[in-house]
Amino acid sequence: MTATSLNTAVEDTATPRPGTRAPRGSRHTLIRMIALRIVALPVLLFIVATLTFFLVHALPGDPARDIAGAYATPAVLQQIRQQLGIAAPLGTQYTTFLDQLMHGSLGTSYTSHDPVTTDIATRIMPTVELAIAAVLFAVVWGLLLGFIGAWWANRRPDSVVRGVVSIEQAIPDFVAGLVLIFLLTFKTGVLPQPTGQLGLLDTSPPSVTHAALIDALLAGQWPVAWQAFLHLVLPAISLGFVIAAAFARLGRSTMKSALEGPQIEFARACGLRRRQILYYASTVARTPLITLLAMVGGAILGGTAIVENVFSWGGLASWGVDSITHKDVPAVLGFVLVTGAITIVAFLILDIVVLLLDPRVRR
Amino acid sequence: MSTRAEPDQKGADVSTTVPANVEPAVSPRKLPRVRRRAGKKRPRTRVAVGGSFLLLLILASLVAPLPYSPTVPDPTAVQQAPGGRHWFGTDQIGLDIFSRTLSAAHVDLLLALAGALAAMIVGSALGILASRRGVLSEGFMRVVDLFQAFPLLVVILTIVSLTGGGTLVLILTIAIVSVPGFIRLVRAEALSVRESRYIEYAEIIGASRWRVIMRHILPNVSGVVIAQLSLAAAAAVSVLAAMSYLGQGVEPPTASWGSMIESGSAGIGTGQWWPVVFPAAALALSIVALNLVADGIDAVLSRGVTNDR
Repeated sequence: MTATSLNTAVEDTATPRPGTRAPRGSRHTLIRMIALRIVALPVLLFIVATLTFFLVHALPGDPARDIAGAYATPAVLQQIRQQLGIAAPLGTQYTTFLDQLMHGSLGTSYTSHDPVTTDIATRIMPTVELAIAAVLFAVVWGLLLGFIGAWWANRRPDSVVRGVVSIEQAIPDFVAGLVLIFLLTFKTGVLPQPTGQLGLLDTSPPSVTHAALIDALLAGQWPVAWQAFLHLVLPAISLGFVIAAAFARLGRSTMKSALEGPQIEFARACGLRRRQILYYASTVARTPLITLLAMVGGAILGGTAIVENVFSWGGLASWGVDSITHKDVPAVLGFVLVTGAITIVAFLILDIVVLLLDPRVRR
Repeated sequence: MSTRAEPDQKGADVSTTVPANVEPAVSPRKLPRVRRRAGKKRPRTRVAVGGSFLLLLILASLVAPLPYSPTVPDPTAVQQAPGGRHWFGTDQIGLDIFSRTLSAAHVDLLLALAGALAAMIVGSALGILASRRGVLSEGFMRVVDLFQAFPLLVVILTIVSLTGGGTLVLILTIAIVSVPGFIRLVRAEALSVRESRYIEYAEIIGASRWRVIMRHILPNVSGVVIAQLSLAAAAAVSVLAAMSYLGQGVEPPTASWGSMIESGSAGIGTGQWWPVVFPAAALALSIVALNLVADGIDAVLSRGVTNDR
């Protein structure tokens, strides 16, 4: 969907625009292009921060009244507003917000009374762990399906794959999660109950990243790591299910057109091994797939919210959604800024990788 | 390593790296075959099957008599398994799952379709406008990029809590989140249409900008737009379910698949599968049907050219 913008970015560097001087060395333009994107990064983040600030402040409701209750006197409300720093006019609040941001602070959460940075730090790694596991599953499973569909295009395996993909596409992640919980933990007991990152009776490993699996691995506690892994399987699969469908569809179509390309016809004519043909075809097909990977990687951090909720995962996304419903302004700002920054950085890395993989630029 | 930009060099590379005595060439049935005739009829069938399923579901939901009230619970029949009296069983407070699943169909599907339709109209207009080359349209596309950098759920929840919910707000929210897809698609299509000769000639004859858009560009992008409408509606059904699941979608007494799944999810750990599975199945089937329609339209449009996305 958003592939077009990224593709145009690539085309822009490959073909000089009319009116501009033809680039002397491609590597030069490549470096300039990357430098430009890195310079633009803080500007983009600033825009995102500003937009979010005013959007969140436009939310109806009075945080002071939420905290003090319906029967609070105006004096108490005013005092709470003073404490929260929302008694000042919006312009002053905005400059304070920017000032704090420059000093690496995101303010204090209204609900947890902790610095927002701490709240984020304890929750980001569980979400990242879940997101990586889900994307890993989606890529492996999706590409497997897609390549099967492309290799046996329009034949029996292809139609089977098509059916599987359309089912995967139709089941929202939280529904998949609930059905999987019913089948795999209640009915058969293969996997543990959805109690979060570890079972209720498991002792958690020493907290370094707050993600159970990573912490257990760091501490070398293998049985705990195994438990953490078992608890990770279901949420990762439920999240990755829909994403895998996207990889399967794109994988099939790019691989199919690659397999029909002239160089593959030639490779076949030369009698190359099937493995080699697949390899050459996949080098053609990889660029759109990497684009999709980065887009998924950028978008998934906000998208894990409901699955985190279903599996009581305690991650960043469900916290962010809770913050919105509680009108916890500093928390929402922090959440959007962090996820926005990760998305933008993911796109930047993507553009660099695609540029580096494109031989027209690399030459 | 290989690109389509330099097939000749690539070919030369390959031939030098391959020893002449590799195993016999790939068997002929592995080669891409031309077999268009057989699959020719199927796209239309896909559209017909998906479309009639949705139409029947919505019609049944609107006019068919329900066995029980979808909003008034029966305290004497709580948590009953599917059976003769309650076909899909009842939930914790005694609501009939069948009645609720069916009556939720027109709520969920019509909201999703309305949102997608609104997005289609606005998105197509903006997409065509943004297909004119220039700083303004480039800037506009960067704004779209920026918009998409926000987490989707955050955008949705912010809009809903900003405005307080309600039918119109839900339609608007769905429209807002589906609009970027239409803008990108229509712009990409319109850009390629604008390159064609007949547009150039039309402009030379003196056709006005408006006439070029209405008579030449719009008809040529309408096909993909309709396919995208179906896809966007499928996504919208899923988004709406997620919103209702979080309690920010359709207001509670009215049945919706998302809120049914949410209220049923408490019982899934103790074996009550029916309050979740039936609305989930209705949800999944509707999305399959919408995707079928989109696929079918896409396939009909691309005719002989196998251009499946």
